[in-house]
Amino acid sequence: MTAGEPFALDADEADAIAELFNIGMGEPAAALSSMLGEEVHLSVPSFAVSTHARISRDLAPGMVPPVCAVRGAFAGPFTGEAMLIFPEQGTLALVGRLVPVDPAADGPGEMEQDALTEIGNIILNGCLASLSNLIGGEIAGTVPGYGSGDPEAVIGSAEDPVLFVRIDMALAAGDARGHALFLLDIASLDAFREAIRRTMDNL
Amino acid sequence: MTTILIVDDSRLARNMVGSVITSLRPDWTIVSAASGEEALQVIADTVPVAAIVDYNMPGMDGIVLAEHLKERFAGLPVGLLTANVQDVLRKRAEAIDVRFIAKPITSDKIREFLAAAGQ
Repeated sequence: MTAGEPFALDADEADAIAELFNIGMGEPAAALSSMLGEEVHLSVPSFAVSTHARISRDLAPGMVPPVCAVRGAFAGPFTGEAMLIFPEQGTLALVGRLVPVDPAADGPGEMEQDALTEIGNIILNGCLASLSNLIGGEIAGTVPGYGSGDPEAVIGSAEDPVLFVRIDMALAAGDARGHALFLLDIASLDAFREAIRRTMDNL
Repeated sequence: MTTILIVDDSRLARNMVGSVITSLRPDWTIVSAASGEEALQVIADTVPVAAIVDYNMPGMDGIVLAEHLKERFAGLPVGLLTANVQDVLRKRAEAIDVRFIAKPITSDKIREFLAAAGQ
């Protein structure tokens, strides 16, 4: 991020947004962990101003296509899109903990897609729910939908700036690694500043 | 001088914990660090009465840091402050006698931790 960009955040704001998402991910990751009977590793959230196209490019090296994603829009004090994204092999390993996966299958079938959608629902809407409790506002999520393809096809290629929060997820066994992504409209920035102030006030 | 150590990679989280501690124990000195590595350096010459450490940090995680701190300061009460509320982590903390404090932080949670720490 350069000083010339119009939506530059100062270090404190970026730090605060990342921390709010860190807290938001805690409960849903624990819920997923109990469901799978396995620890779910989470990275420290990273936060940046980016674009759909740049996010697709940045994630591509760690994502052997095709990738599978669960995505849904949300609206409230801030609006945007939440996504859970895993490479296909990781998806099969992940949902294989919950449903029997046909080893001969060349991609996720209907049952596997449903299982990933449910996992996405738990993680994404769980995170948004914790976040809304934290800041004292309601964030309405839509029912997330499943999609697959190249990272660019799934994440998009638009060049408009978005606020981008990324949390890497991995199962303890190491065979499923993916990302939870939250892409927020730039117009949400003021709402976030307000949310941070409220969170501090509520102490 | 009574010193407490606060370690979190998030400045927001450090500020939040710091402001709660200041309101509960105005005369305490707060030593804060943004990573486990930094914490072990800054605390070198000071014996804290307690430490509150984040789990999910770049570099050393909070459990490893807690082990180092307990090695250096026998009997030091350590609170693991984390959004990661998975049972496996809770058990790992309990196994080394570290108290689990779930984020988001509140005055009550810090008060309970200090009471349990005998402070």
